[in-house]
Amino acid sequence: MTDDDYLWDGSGVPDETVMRLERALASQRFQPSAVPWRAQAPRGWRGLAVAAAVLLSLGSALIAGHQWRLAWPAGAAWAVADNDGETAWLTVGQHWRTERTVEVQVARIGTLTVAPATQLMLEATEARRHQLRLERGALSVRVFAPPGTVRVNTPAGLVTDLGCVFDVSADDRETRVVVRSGWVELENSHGATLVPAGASSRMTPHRAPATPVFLDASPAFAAAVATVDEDWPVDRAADLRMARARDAVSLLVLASRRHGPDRAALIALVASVSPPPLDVDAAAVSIDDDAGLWRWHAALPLPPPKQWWRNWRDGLSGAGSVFTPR
Amino acid sequence: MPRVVAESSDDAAAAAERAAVVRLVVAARTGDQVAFSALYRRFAAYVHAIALTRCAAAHAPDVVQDTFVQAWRRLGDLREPGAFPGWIAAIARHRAADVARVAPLEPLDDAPAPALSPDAAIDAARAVAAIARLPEAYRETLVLRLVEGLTGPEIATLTGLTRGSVRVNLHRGMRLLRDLLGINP
Repeated sequence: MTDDDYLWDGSGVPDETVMRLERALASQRFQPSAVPWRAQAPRGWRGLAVAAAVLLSLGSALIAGHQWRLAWPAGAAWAVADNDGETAWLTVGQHWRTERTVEVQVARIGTLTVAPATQLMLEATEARRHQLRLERGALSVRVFAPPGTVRVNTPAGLVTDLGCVFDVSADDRETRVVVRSGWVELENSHGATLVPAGASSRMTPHRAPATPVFLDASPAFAAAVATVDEDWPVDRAADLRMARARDAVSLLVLASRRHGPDRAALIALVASVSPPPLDVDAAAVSIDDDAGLWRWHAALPLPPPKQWWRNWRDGLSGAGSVFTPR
Repeated sequence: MPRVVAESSDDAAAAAERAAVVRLVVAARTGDQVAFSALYRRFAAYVHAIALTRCAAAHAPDVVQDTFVQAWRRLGDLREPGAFPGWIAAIARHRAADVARVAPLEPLDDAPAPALSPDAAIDAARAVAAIARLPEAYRETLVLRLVEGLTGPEIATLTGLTRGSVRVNLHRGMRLLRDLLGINP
């Protein structure tokens, strides 16, 4: 060990000055958001200036409340509601195994319902960044906050909320996600996928996350998608023809991962249930126009991930409660 | 020889991460927003660190935003996907320099501070101002370590610098920073 080990990688004997600097500078740390660009501000008219001022003052009050909800001291414990009326605390680094269903406050921004026999650990918590490790078991997450604020790390990869309500279950072999509201991103070292509300996906440690499929899709269609996901040729998945218009999202994701005749067959299927927008040439997409494919995907009637605030109802169930951090 | 094993396994992890970045850049160039989002998550802290060493901290998030918007628009111009870390850092440095013209860094109080207690000597604004006075090679590395909370190996993977260079930058930068803040080791 040298004197610089703590400065190098946090190991070795802690350097008092470095620790003080880390503490002082933590407030300057980047607060991540899953969305790399902001929505365009609407153009204002001079005549609306007075009305805008009134709205601004109302908005300021709302923003102040919103900022309070998002604020959270780094490392502060989360409150766990207990049946006997006592409040327990989930602290960073604490390994926890539930014996019954319990409800946990995710800082001030949401709630976590944890199923019995679930093993988890709170890896990190600070304003706008909260991360759990789910070893095995099941959680329901309800969050009203900007995208990327809450992450669930599982053995198969990372689950990131994009402003939403979702269920996640995991064990050593597989992670399964069902999205109830908003969007969720699944990511591991093999790839990533976005899952919209009403759809589900899964991932294993050895493959890219599976193509999202809507929960109300026919079981035969879902099985056909899984077949193609497992690298079988599209002509072995005849039930893909059972796709409805909203299943175009599954077909486009499948097509984005294929080349040649398989891709062309998938694009023909998409075009038959959900024609491309005017600026997208289906023939070009079926060959190699990935940019066109993603414009087509973006034109599907789904809420854009960045408009998380549309899911304001997610904030109504217990989120933003009065727990004081400790 | 556990140390050697650990290093080679770290090297493999770094190589895998570089390969992942190349894959993401290739995918993002085709318009894949999921891939670009993943690049954003990997490099936003780096861009933020660059901004903190060049302009007022309050404007650093805007630099991050503008840098990635510009990167998204110009990704087609990037010929070598593996050059993405240096490429986005260059965009960030230019953008931060533009912002610094209207929102410069807080100057460091020139008064010597030998009488200050360590806690009084270290406050966020003063520390950032002191780091900004360091030679360029040390600034970004120290901010990535002390502000963004990355380890030396993570900084090397992210920036493309060798581990040796990162270690030297951290060591020398920290020594100069102690002097500037008036803190004895």
